[in-house]
Amino acid sequence: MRTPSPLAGALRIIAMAMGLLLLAPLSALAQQGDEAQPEAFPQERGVYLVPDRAPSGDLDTLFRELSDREMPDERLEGFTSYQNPALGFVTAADNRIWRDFRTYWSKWIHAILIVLAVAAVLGLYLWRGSQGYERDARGRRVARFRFLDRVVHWTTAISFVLLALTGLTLVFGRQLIQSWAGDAVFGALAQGSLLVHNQIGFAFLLGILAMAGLWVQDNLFSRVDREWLRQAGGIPSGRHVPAEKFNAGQKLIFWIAVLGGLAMGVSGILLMLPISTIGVGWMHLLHGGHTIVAALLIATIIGHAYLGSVGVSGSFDAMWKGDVDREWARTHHPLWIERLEREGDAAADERPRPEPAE
Amino acid sequence: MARMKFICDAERCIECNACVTICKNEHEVPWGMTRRRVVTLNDGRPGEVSVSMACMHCTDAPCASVCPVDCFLQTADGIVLHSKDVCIGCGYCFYACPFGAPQYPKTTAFGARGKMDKCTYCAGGPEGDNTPDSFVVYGRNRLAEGKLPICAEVCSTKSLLAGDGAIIAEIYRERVLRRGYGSAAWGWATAYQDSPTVLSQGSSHWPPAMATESMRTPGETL
Repeated sequence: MRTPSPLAGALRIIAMAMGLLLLAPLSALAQQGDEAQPEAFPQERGVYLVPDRAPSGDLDTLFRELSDREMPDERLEGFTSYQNPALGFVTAADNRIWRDFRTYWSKWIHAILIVLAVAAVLGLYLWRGSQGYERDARGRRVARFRFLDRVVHWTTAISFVLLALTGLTLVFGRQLIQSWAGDAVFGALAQGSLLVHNQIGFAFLLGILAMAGLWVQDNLFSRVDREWLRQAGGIPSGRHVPAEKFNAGQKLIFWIAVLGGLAMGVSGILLMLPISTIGVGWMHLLHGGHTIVAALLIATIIGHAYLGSVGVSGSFDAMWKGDVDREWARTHHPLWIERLEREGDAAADERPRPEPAE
Repeated sequence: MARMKFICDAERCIECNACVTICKNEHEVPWGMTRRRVVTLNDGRPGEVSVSMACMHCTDAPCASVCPVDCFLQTADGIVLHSKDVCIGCGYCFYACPFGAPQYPKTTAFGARGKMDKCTYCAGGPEGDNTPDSFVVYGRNRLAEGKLPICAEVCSTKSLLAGDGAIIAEIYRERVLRRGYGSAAWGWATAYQDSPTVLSQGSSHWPPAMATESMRTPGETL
């Protein structure tokens, strides 16, 4: 074993002395820190059995005291070594708000809006009936929607109906279907609904985007629309109000569908990526928005489906066959047909259509 | 019958994560999730406490009330279990749970995330059996073997207590009185609102849940 040289010994002593000198201010700081803390356990850490707020010692009082600290219904955030940092909370009593929305408000919002829409449609039918038109004497027809327009419309429409039905299954199924269909049947139905809902959403979003691109030009509001809206589309007076290719009501439906559809698509995609991009609080908001906008869209589309079929006779052909009777166009969209005539576009389709012998 | 509860004495938890690990091992919990986790409040600051959190088996369980397929059941012991045959993996229970207990076992494309998974209080599935099949789906049924949840059994400081709510509350009370202070019994008031030992704030909540939103009881089929 090596004996330490006197030089090394001296160096060690100097080093220790310097170390002590360096440590001295640190220990002074540490002492200051200790002085800054009046007690080992800060008040906010827990319930103290100090005389002025000592629980009586019985179980009820003690737990009430302890619970008070948790009851303010706030989210207690902390750190967790668990992989998902979104789970770094102890209690999130404010989730109660979403629970109420899901079990109560979402159902009532949907129920009220759907019932109102159906009632409005029925009322309109009883009041005004189906809007007829004089057929063109020569059976001339005019092209209204191209093939692409119709494909996009029906892609969006079919996916919307599927989304609405599957979505409503998740909102109301437990009460309206499971109670009589049983767990096995409803379990399969709900599982299928969730799958279909998550997949079809993409077709719907694509349809909405294509629709926006194809039709936005004809759906910009103009001066004519103000008059149309002022007269409420002529429904109360029973007279037709001049309109372009789309009247103001149709334009409103277009914007509701496009903006609502985009909102549904974006929120839907984010909801499919749970808490990977956003926190639980955002999930609550997105789910709420998704549900409320869905109810608004369903109500709007009920009205749209009625007006596009029974409500205005002859209008279904526009989106199904692609062309409409010339007089139908002159009745409902006079400014549009006048423009076509001016531009000479309509002349191409003026040949009479062979009528089936009846 | 006993009302089974969890209580975590945050003054004793040393964040060793043994409860998390043993739970994952005992039930062979899927990759990517754990049924229990330890959360540290005021990490690295004065007043740091750690709390072991999992499903608290609430009396008025939010997961059961928001479930679109009514797949939850509460046993006679108060344990909240869900049927993975009925569950569709929508994740609503996770949004509603105040403790972040239900988890997605998978994170695959297009929202196909598998059935939700959560703490079973070591009581297996809602069928209450202890078969190899039920072990694969729900994990071990220790209660059927006369044992308590393994997380509480392995807790080295006996911070996490499981068992009859009245008994563990009494143990906790004795501790608090003996040492003269205590942290909040985290989650206790939220989970067991109607418990006779806890302030019942929130039980007369408005709007009231729809009548059918309550959990099933063992008498009902699932």
